Amino acid sequence: MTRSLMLLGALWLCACAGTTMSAVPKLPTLPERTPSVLHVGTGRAELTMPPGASTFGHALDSRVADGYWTRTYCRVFLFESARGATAQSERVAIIPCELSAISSLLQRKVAERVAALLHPSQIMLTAVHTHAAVGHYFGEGQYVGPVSTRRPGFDEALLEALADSIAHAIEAAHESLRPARLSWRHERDFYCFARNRSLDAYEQNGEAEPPLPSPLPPSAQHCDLSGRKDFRAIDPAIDVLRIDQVDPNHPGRTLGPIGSISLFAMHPTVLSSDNRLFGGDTTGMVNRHVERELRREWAGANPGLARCFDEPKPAGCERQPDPLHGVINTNEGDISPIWSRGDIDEAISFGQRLAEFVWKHHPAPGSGSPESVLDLRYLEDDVRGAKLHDRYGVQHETCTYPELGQGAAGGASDHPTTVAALPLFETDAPRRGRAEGCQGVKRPLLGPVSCLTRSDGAFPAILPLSVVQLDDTLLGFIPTEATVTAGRRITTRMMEVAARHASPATRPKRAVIAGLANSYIQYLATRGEYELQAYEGASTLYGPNENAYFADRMALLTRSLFAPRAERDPAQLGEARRLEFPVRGGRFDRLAEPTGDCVSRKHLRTCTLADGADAPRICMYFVDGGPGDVALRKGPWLRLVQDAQGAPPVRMCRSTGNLADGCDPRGYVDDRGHEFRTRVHDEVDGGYLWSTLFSPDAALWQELGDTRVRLEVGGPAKLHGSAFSRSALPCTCTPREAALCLDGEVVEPLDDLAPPKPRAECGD
Amino acid sequence: MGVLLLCGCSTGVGLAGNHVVHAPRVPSLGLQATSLVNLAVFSGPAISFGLDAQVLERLDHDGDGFSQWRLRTLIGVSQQPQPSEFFIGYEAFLAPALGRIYVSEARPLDLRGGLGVQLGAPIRLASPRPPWRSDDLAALSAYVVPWISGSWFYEDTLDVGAGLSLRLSLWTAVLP
Repeated sequence: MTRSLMLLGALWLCACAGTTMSAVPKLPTLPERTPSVLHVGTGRAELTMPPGASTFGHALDSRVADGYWTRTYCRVFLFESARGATAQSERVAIIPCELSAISSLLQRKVAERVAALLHPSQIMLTAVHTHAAVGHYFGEGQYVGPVSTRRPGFDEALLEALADSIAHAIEAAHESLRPARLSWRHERDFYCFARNRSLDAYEQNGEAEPPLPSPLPPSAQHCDLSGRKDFRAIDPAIDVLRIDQVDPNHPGRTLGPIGSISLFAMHPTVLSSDNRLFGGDTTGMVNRHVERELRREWAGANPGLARCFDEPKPAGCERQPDPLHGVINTNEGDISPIWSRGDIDEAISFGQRLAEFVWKHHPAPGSGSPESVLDLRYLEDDVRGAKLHDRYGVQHETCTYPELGQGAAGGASDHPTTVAALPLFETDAPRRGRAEGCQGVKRPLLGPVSCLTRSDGAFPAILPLSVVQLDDTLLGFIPTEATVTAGRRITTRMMEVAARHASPATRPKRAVIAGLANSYIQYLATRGEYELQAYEGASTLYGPNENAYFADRMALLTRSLFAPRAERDPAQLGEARRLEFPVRGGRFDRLAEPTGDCVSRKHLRTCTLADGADAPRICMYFVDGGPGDVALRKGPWLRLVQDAQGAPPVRMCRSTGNLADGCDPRGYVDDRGHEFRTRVHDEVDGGYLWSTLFSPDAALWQELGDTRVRLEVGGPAKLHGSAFSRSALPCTCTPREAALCLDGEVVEPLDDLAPPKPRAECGD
Repeated sequence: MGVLLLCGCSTGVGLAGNHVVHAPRVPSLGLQATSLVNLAVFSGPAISFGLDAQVLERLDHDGDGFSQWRLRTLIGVSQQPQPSEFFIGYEAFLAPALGRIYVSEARPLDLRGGLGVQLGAPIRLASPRPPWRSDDLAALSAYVVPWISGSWFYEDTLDVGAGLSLRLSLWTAVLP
């Protein structure tokens, strides 16, 4: 009896305990940094989750997903010095992810898995900030608790699934390390894609009017730049890092692109909060388009190996090439895309235009130096009550506790929340009270109840900060969304320190913020913006001195990079501290589990959506297993195949119009692209009702010609829709069928859905 | 208003049966009404507090004209299952109570204070729906709630009870 009670007590204690990630001792640092040939490897981590989990980013307005539009990925770029990889500065993994934010718990879980390859201080996970990706993986209570989404909850299985996928991608990147050349291109013409959504707050900074560029760049012709201050009050910088494989025997010769990373300041959020399809929003389009162009270039540089893109991988190919493109969001805190409708079609067209811009800003292959500097400094710092010195040497302190202000409630001005309709939470600033305590003029969001959000673990308090030098550019990795001005003040300090301490040989030309990195403490506003307590200021958790804190710490890391001194550097530099998270492990069923139920898979109908789009859209609905049972998580699950023996997959050239560019050597038309919008509906007899909307653009239809094709659903046995071609489209969808495919509306019982009928009987 | 914006509310009516375990032993039956405020401030079950009122008629000795009543404050946790969850939930309350209760043969009915506990199992009446069809900002749900309770009243009176409630619950967490 006594032992039973003791066991029960121990189990209860375990259930009540949170999650602890152990400290990891620091790696040695090198006394000197010299340029060397870098080796780079890449890996792709699939993050797409089944329906039933919630999206994350719109707080209480984040809907539960019922499907996916674009698959979401992390893309691993592993950089290693050719000298070896025992010191901290000799290896770093930069991993842009199509997620809303990164949790430090996720970063540590990944680090745990790849401990033989990387120290936590060498893992830079960043989020593009799509609000259409999954949640439920944060270790802090406020990000998984009530009001975090419409279906809150921490799901350990989902967290572990994400960490497994990213870790495998890091291992793949390690196995694919090869000599590389880095080429940067830095421009300042990122206009007419984004606008400043918090102009009132921006103007509190008292800086000069945002200038009109002279001469006007081509991008500026797409909008009224001179007439709209919000279009100019942005960060017009775009930085693109291109990574090319080099011939180890002839370092001057490049062998094709390994990948590229683009950095610019803009929320990717065209899609509104009522979106229910997982996806990468506009950055999903950018990544896909640029990767297609990288594949094209790779095939052009390696014509004999283009067949290695075939699936399955042919004999004689060591690995399947997969040049990657990742987007890192910089100081985008108050910068939103210029959007109007907020639907997927607009995200596609906007993303396509942005993708073409990013691709045009890629440096020429091999244009960089054959040798590059790789170095980094990392600090996990407790932000609570942290002392800091501003640029004038005056000491300040951050707040000892985090708090959201009332201005956070209504959401950003371009995506207001549901409660913004209430007078108490309308988005017009100011929302400030009397200056009291360390939070200054901030009025607590919940009034006296806000003390509940101050407890340990409600928000992150130990912040991972890092400065990485890659060739001539400093990347400042911070766990926040800095406004344009806040980010600029940080990078200005970094460059001032670099100018003072760096030797001419290794002095960087540029410093860029890499936001939403390794943790997430919401927004970072300047002191002036903070005083207004608009959305970004109210979401600056640790008070009005937070911007100065980040500038101070990033300056410290930059100085340590160029002039390390043991007596001045913090003792914990490079350490991964012991971290405790209050969320308890457990299954909250956000990650759909396989049921193993017997399912009668069948195709029901394929029809044509006549909704006036540029090209016909094909809707197919079918019965398949539940979200946890279908083979959705590893793409492709849906694809276009030929109506022929063996149903070979359709491959398209996707020509640019310039013959010299060649074809996309992969060219498959499947759900790894952006043409499929797939969702689950309801449980029906025999399984679950699913639909997919195939929305090719006009160019793809043109290229398809009159080839007869079918839509195919993967699984233990393939499921095929009705055959169609450009000249023999399926019958027009009924209004209910159209609603099913477009909006996911609940459909009436299965018996009411028409069986397939021949074209001659359409009666359209 | 700020508190109301935080929470959902539940109201229920039902039948209650109580049995005073004392000399005299008094079985009773009556009506019950409950009103709860549910604060979903933490993950998992909501913190709930509210009031429960019962009027009871003695079942033996030709009744007592509904002379008994109990008034309890309920403070505890309540997990009222959403349409995407398993249809039976749980709740547990601490219940400071005031009651007009049978305490002895000499003074059969008297006003007494006490303390008790109540355990219940809210059973959702609505059909199950998948999570993507049940993420409303606010929703009204109906539950049947069987419950049991035990209360100790000063000086030495144990009152055990059981009942069945029909409860309407407005779930909302319109917390900015």
